[in-house]
Amino acid sequence: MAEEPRRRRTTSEAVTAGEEVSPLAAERGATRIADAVVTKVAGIAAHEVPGVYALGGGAARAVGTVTQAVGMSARAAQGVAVEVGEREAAVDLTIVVDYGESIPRVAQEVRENVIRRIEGITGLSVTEVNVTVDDLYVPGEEEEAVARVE
Amino acid sequence: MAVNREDERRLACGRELLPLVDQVAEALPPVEPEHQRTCPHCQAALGELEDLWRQVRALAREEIVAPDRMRYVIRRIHEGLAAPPREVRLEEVLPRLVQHAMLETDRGTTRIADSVVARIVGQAVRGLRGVHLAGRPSAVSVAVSGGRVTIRLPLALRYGLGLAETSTAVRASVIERVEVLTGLVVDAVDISVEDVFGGDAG
Repeated sequence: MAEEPRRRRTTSEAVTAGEEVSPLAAERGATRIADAVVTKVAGIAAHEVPGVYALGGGAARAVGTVTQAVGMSARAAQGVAVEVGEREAAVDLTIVVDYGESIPRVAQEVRENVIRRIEGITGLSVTEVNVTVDDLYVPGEEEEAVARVE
Repeated sequence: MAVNREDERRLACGRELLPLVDQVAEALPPVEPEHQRTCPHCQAALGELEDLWRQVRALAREEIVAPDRMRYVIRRIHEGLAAPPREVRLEEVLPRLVQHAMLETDRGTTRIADSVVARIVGQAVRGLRGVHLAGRPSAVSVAVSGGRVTIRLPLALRYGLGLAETSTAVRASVIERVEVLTGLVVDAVDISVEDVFGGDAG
């Protein structure tokens, strides 16, 4: 994870220090992006990629279903963790991939789409997108498991 | 009044008291039989000790009935001691640790859980005729290290099929599926045939 200083500084401070100024820093006022926004964008971007069945691992999904039911979290936020600095962001994603898809290909497409969307929407530069695949979705297998239990 | 502990243990005749206690309690032969036969002090002490010890023996003979709860506890302890020790396997009590294979890219890492590889192996075997996984699907063991993977596969084989050709076909199929779907390099697929089905084997 790229470490970015968390302390907020004014644009003039950064300019005086001769540092590269965030694309969001304007001459008269700064624009801040909440972590939750980056998280949401990353989640939606990951969902856009074919072969991504869901976000989150098995347990995270189960918990997510509950929090979703009580309106506590957006669907896109499950399985997404972000670290947002002034100019950069790093993303950790956990996805469930459809069985039969190439996992590295899906992961790479997720990575590229997440980078494209976050950079396009927020102007932040994305240093890395780590993708973890903890589960696969095999059509018909869950029904079968249920049938065995009954 | 200062009491000399040494004196307390000696009789007026100068003999020690403790050997007499042993003589009575443990029924040991007297240390000095000649002296004891004539010494009134020793005789008196022995008489008193005999008397005392008779009461101790009576107390020891008395049957003690433990309270019900205590009897229950004692019975459980005896049962526990009599039962053969049960083997507790570590994986039964510990949550399974997930290992991930790692594929590095220039903008982040792709991590694939060992359980994901195991499921792909399971699907690959399902697509083959004449074999199925022996035991539970979780019996497939996958060891990942970086971008490489080693697979241990317990199989049940249809009676009548040749082991050599079948395991070659299974191995090729598993390697193809895992490498295509995960991008990992399969170092080895160790197959152990643990069961036979079909034919007379049932």
